[in-house]
Amino acid sequence: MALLGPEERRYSELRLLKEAKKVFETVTYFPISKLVLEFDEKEVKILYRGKNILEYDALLPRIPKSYMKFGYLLLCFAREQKIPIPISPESVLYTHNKFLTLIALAQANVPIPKTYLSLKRATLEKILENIKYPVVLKLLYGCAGKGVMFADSKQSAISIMDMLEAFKQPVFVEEFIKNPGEDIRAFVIGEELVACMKRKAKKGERRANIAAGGVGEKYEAGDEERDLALRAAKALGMKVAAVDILPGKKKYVIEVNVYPGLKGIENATGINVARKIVEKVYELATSV
Amino acid sequence: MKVGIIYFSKRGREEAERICNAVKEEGEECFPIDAKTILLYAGEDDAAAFSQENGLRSFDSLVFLPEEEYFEFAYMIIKIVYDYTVTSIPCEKFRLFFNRALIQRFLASHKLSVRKVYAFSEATAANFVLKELKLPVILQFPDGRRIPIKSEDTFTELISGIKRDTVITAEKPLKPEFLVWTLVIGDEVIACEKKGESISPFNTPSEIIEKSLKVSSLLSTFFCQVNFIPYRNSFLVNEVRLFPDFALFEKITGKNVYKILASSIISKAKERKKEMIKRSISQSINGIKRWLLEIGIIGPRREKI
Repeated sequence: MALLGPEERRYSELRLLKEAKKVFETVTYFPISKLVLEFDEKEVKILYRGKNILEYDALLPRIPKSYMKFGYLLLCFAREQKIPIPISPESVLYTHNKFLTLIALAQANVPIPKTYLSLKRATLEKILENIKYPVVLKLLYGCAGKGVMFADSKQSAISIMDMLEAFKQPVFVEEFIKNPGEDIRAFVIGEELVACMKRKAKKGERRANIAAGGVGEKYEAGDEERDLALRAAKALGMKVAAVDILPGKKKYVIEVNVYPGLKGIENATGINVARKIVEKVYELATSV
Repeated sequence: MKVGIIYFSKRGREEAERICNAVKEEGEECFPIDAKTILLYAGEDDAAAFSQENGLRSFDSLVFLPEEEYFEFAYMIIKIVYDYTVTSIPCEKFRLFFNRALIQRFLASHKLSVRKVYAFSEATAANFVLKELKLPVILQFPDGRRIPIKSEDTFTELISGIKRDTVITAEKPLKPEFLVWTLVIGDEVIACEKKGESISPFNTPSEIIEKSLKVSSLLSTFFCQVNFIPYRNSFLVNEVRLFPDFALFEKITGKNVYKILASSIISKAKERKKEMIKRSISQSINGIKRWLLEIGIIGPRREKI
């Protein structure tokens, strides 16, 4: 199995490597930054120091936001060569562009908060006039809770958006769903929800992301949450996905992650998620 | 028929207005739409796209004049309207344009020859490419810039300044005496030849006509510009553009490009609309059949009863 990931191997990559070595005969880690694509009319290769990684039986990609475009290209080439991969190349594009994720979810009838995007803030003027405050403003390419802002009035929303427009940072407006600073992270592998945790924001913070200081605890998902998580992963063509759900009477999917960290979920649930991911990849490789 | 032409720049606006006038002369409704006035919505009930409160799905056809910087935004619009409105390029084909290497490989896999191409996104990988290709090389950046490199120092300097995740392609340079640009609109191929700085009409050989039509058909586009390089008694597809320089082709060849474009947009839109209606009827029939099967009105369960 070839594991593709960032140059610096962190907890998640190390865990996946460790577990993969128990399942696969050969496991090699390839930093995306050092990969080169070579192609002509006859053949396609993904090279690492001259070695073609498309000769591996399976590929497990861990593609961070900073390699979205190149990562998408790599996966398209791997798919063309029919190498088993647990996520579709499009899911890399979709999940890194948060609005694209929401379009795909909305089209699959997965409940999401009402969200608006335009190239120019002025186009959003009417929405900002009529929407209920506070509103959530999100950067199109934010991750790990970064780039999520809250505006309590139209004026503050406009100020934030004008500033971001000046920095050429696309931003979108999302209705605020009242919530005590909690969300549910559901980890989907194949057709199963394998682990689930509730994340609670630290005091004075609205974002529950672990990277933003949130704390995770084991959570028993109900049927509705399970169904939502599975449908969201399916809508994006992902057999491995971390789906974030806002709890409450009415539940909403707020994000789907293609590059989720494993530390928080493994620590909170005690479940060996890395092993389950690797087993899924093995199943895909052996069912070809 | 109601047609919308979506543009993203000043040049786009000028071209959109010319196309609209030509479509109107054919007796159809047509509106230029500034992408900056478009509002995208995603919510529980579905996704939608509006321009000045008009739903874009209400158009019979939407023609895109996309530019690199706004490809993702254009893609989001196409994704939202695609099942309801005929677009000038389908969703899955438009994605190929996110990356030059992707479109080149797509064409190569359909026997439209390309030479060996390398793609990378980091300086560390670039050194390997240089070792394989050897100087001189030509680098192409996502914005279309092609930079010939003759020295290792220039190469290192250029590569060290690239932003992460900028996908660069590298090839051996060719020194063609001339280039051929074709504008494909439906079944029509209009060609120009570029020699140095001068551009003139080109008497198109059948190979170029066939290849141009094949590119357009593979991409299922209403129109496109295909740039060719002569290579070993043949022509290589070097680039495909979804927003051709219509005005230039009209000026050089004297053909009424906008009239050809307008009648092609109308006929393609009508043809695809018919296909969409047929598809949606057959989907509905299949849905009803599945439902009847499920409740046992037809199929094996009925026989059992």
